[in-house]
Amino acid sequence: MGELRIETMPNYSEMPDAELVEQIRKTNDPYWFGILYDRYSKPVYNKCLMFIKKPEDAKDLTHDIFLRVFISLSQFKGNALFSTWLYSITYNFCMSFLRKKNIVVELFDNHDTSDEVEIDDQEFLQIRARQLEWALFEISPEERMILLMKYQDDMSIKDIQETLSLGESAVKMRLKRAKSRIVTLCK
Amino acid sequence: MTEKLNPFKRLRQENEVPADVREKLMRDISYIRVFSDIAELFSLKYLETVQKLFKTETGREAGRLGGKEDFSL
Repeated sequence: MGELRIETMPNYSEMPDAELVEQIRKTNDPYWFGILYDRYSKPVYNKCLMFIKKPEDAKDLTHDIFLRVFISLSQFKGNALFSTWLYSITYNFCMSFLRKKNIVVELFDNHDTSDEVEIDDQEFLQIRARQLEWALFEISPEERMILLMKYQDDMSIKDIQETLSLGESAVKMRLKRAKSRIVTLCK
Repeated sequence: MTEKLNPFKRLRQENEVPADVREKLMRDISYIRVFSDIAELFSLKYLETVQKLFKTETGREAGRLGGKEDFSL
C-alpha cells in the first residue's frame, strides 16, 4: 500500500523583504504580493489614519498605495530598506491627498530658524506620549510627517531628503523647527 | 532609545485594515496582470500582424475616399 504523503506549503511569512520583492519582480504573482501586503498593510493603514482621520479615506489610500507599490516595484533599487521606500510612498500619498482636499495650504516655508534653540533628542523624547499625541495634531501635517519619519520610522536624514526632495540642511532645519514647536506646545 | 521609551513608537496604532481592501487590491492586480500580458503578447508576438492590419485599414480608408494617391512618404 502506498504511503500517504502530505506536503505542506512552506511558511513564507518569515522571508526577508528583499527576497519577497525579488519573487514578486520575477513572477508578478499576486500570491507573493499578498504576503507583502499582509506584512505592511497595518502600519500603512495606521499611518494614513494619523493624517487622514476618516477611516474610509484611509482605507482607499491604503489600497492606492499598495497598487502603486505593485506597479512601481521595478523602481525599488534595494539601496534602502523596503519599509523605508514604502513609508516614503505612504507619506507622499497622504500629503498629496491633503493638498487635494486643501487641508495642507502651507508648504514648508524657509523662515530663519537661527533663533530657535536646538533641542537634544534625549531631552526631546522625554515628552509623554499622551502630550505628544495631542501636540502632533496641533502642528502642520508636514511637520508631523517629518517627525514621524525621523522618530517613529527611524528614517535617516538622507532617506528623508530623498522622500521630500530636499537638501540636507533643509531637512535638518525643518526637523529643528518641528521639534521646537512640539516642545513649546508641551510646556 | 528603546521602543518602550520613545513616545513616537508608543503612539503607533494597531487598527485592523478592513478586509475588503485586500480583496479589491488583489482583484485590481489581477486586472493589471491581464492587461500587461495582453500588451506584451501584442508587442512581442503580433506586432507585425497589428502593423499590417493598420496599414491595410489605412489603405482601405484612402480607397473609400476615392483617392488613389500614394500616401507613403
